Amino acid sequence: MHFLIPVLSVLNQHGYARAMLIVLGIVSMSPVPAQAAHSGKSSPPYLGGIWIKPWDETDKLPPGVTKAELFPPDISMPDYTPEYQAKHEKIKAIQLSAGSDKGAGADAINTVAVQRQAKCLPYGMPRMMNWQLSLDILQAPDRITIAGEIDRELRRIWLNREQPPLDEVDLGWFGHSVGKWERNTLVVNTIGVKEEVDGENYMAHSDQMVIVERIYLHKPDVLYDDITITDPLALKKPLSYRSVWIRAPQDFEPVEYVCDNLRSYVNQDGKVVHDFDNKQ
Amino acid sequence: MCKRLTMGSHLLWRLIMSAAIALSASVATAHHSFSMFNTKKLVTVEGTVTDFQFSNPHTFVELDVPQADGSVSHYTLEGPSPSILKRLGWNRLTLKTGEKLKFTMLPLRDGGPGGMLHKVTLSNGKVMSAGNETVLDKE
Repeated sequence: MHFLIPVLSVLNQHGYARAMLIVLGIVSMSPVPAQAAHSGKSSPPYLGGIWIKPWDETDKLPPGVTKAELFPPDISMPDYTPEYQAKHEKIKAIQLSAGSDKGAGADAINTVAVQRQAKCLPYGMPRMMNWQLSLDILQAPDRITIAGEIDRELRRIWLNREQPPLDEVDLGWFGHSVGKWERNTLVVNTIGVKEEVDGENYMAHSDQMVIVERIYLHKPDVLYDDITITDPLALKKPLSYRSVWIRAPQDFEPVEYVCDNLRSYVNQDGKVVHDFDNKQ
Repeated sequence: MCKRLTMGSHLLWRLIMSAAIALSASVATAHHSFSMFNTKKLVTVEGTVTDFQFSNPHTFVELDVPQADGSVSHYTLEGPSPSILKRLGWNRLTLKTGEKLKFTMLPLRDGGPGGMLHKVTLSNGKVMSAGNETVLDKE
C-alpha cells in the first residue's frame, strides 16, 4: 500500500487519512474470498469440517434446535418394481442368513451381502452419507471430498462439471458425483453405483440409479443431506429421505479404521464364521 | 471457517457420549451378524486379561477365567470398533495385561467360552460400558 502514502499525506491535511486507514483496514480483514471479490458473486457456504451423527435418546437438545430437526422420520420402504422387490428380498435373506447357523448357501458366498460381513468392504453410496461414524468434508473450489470414518470411505464431488453419460462412467461403490451450488445448497448428482452395492435397508437398485443430494447448512452446526433416489428399472417412484449431521466438537478426531484384525471368514455354507480361536 | 463451539455444543457432546449406548449396537454389527450371541442373557465373568486388542473392525479382550474345579478357561470377548469405544471414554490402555477384572457379556449361544463385551469394572471401581445396552433384550 506504499502508493497510498502520498495520497494519505494529502488527505491528512484535511483530517481524512485516519478515517481512510480504518476503512482500508476493515476491507483487508473482511473474509470475502478472492473469487467472490473478483466476480462480484457471493461465495458458497462453507460445508467443510468434521460432522457426526446426532444420536437418539438425548433428553436435551442444543440451543435453538428441536428434536424433530435432528431426528427425521425413518426411511420409508421403496416402491419397487416386481423384479427389484424380489431382488431386495433376496439381498435381505442372504445377509440375515449369512449370520445365522444355516448360512446363506454356497451360491451366495461371493455376494456383497455376505462378503461385507467377513471383510471390511465399504458401504458405498448412498449409505456412507447416512452411516453412524463421522464424515470429514473438505471443500475446495473445484471439488468436495468426503472421507467417512468407517472403512476409510472416500468420495469426491466434482464441481462445475457436466455429468457424463452412464456409458462413460466406471461403475463402482461410490459412483461418479458432480455438484453445483444453487444459492446456499450444494446439489449433487451421482450415477454409476454398481448394482451389487445395496442401499439402506437392503435396498436393491440397478446400475441406472441416480442419486440427487441437496446438502446445506440447516443451522450453523447442523448439516442436512436431502437424498432422492430414482431408478427407472427398480423404483416405481423416487425414494427420498434426510440424513442429518451435527458439527463435531473441536477436539474430535476420527479414529483410524484399518481392518487388520479380521477374525471372521465365510465357510462353504455361506455362513460368516466368527473365529474366536483365531487370535491375531 | 472453523466455528468455535459453544457451551451448548459441549453439552450436546456429553449427551451424545451417553447416548452412544443406544447407537453402538447398530455400529457394532457393521461387519457381521451378532446372531451368535445370546441377547437375552447377561453373564458375569471375572478373570485375568491376557490381551486387549484395540483393533478394527472390532476390539477383543482375551481373558483367563478360573473355574470352580481349579482349572482355567480362556474366554474371548468381542467389543465394538475403537471408534465407538473412544467415544465412550476407552483407549488402548483401558485394559492392561495381567489385570484381574470383572466383565459382563452377552454369551455365545453355543455355550463356548466367550461373548459380546458389555461392561467392565476397572481396578479403580469405574464401570466402563461397551455400548451394547440396546442389544440386550429386556424381557
